[in-house]
Amino acid sequence: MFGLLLALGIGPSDEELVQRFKAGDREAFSVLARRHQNRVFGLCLRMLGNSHEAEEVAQDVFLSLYRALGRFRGDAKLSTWIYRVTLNHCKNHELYRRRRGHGRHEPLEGTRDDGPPRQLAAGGPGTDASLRRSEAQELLQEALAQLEEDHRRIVLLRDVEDLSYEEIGDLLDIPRGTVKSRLHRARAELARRLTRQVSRADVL
Amino acid sequence: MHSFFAINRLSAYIDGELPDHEAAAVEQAIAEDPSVRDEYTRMLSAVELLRNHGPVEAPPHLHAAILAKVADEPDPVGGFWARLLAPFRLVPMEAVGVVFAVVAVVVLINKQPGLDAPLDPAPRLPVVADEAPKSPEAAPDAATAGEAPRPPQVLVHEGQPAPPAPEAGLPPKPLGKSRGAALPDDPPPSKEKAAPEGRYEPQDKKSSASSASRKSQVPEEPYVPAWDQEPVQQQSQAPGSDDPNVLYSPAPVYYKLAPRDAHGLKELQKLAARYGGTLKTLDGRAFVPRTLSVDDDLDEIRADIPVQNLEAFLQALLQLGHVTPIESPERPLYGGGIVQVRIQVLYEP
Repeated sequence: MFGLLLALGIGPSDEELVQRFKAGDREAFSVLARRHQNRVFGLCLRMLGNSHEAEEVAQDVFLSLYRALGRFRGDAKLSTWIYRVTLNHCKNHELYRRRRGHGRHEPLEGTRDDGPPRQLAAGGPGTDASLRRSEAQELLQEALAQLEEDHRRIVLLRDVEDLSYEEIGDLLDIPRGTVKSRLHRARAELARRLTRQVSRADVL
Repeated sequence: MHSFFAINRLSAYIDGELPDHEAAAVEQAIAEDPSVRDEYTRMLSAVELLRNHGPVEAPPHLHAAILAKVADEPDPVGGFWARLLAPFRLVPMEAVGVVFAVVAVVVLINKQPGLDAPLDPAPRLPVVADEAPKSPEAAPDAATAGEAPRPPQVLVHEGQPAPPAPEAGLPPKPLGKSRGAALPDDPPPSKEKAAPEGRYEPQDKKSSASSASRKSQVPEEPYVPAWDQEPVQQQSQAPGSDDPNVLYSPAPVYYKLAPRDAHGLKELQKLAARYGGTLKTLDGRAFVPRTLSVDDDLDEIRADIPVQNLEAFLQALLQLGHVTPIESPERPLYGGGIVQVRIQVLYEP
């Protein structure tokens, strides 16, 4: 029922669900989790580059939310708070990976800067659209993985999560001008790496 | 626009965050400069790729996994009492602590001896006017006034300057109203206080309102325009003062104060302030206790106290300790205004 309401864009607001959760309604948390799981998992996946790890971290994020939701004051939007928790968990996980000796992001073979440009599957007969889509996803993830963490974070918040400059500034505790300049550098760097991997015509 | 500046604004241009004139300049640079156009095309492609392929859906089993993970968690909100007290979590404990501290300090200050005396205690006013009132009815004679026992005695000083009004911009209240029950020795209303016959008598608003209702009962007096009026000489105006609002001259009241250190004088200053007065040097300058030392030749200060608070102030002053009232013939003081309480400062080693 809740799923149907959510799919239709109908349902209680986040604030209302938080109040219900504070009043002891655990079902409210289930609704919140269903509502925000895609953005939490997507952000984790884009930040970490690994689906399995993203799933684990997303579960940890929701566990933290469950424990802390009773103390949520509502000073900021719930979604902003969830983004902040998610980014912190991703950062912690990356630190954990580095301590374990894993590289932050190991670019796939053939995607290094000094390698030859890759080509997507040609759009000829028999080319599956889903294949092209998955290849685009893969190329995008590889390019994102090569960005600095700050750049990756800001470009995801703006172009994937569609947050405003002000929301990004609040989330990352940086002024609006810094958001603007950092976003410009991140996009320029991402465009440079994507250009080396695939031509625009192939992807779009 | 130079291509360097145009390229640096491409990201903001894509987001529509540039002002109109800068956006127009960037558009022109894109149209005219191939390097800018190439950079714009690459960046726009990257942004569109992110927007089209960036969002991903969570695996279908993620929701169930999340619920399973939190199922074993204890109730994060707590039990009944935790929910009942939940609204108070919004109040920081630091703020609660500060409030308690402030309340405690206020209570302690109010509990200090000598500072909690009521403003209108029972003992009589041990004060004497500089000059006897002009009307014999206005002031009772010394024998009448001396009927009640009064502990402090007073010296009379001639020619004291007129004190300032109790509150800036607010004239002292009329005789008999400002003091109320604080001075039971108030003389009966003097016949001479009434304006001379045939003169317009200025009245305050309340009395004018009441007199309007009485107008039909009293014979009408001839109207005298304001410019033809002579200033009403208040029968009780302070001698040496041009201010007709000062009904009686302030009388100096002498007390000996023997503070062992500046702390006693600070207490005296607090006491004067509590009763609406100020501590001053004899020449009227503000008195600062911390500047006083044994080497100073200042041996007398004064506290300017509103007359309605004088009695309570003197009672509280006696409780300060090291205070000795100077014996003097007792005469009552009437009227409003400020009374200068002279205080001799004796230093004890």
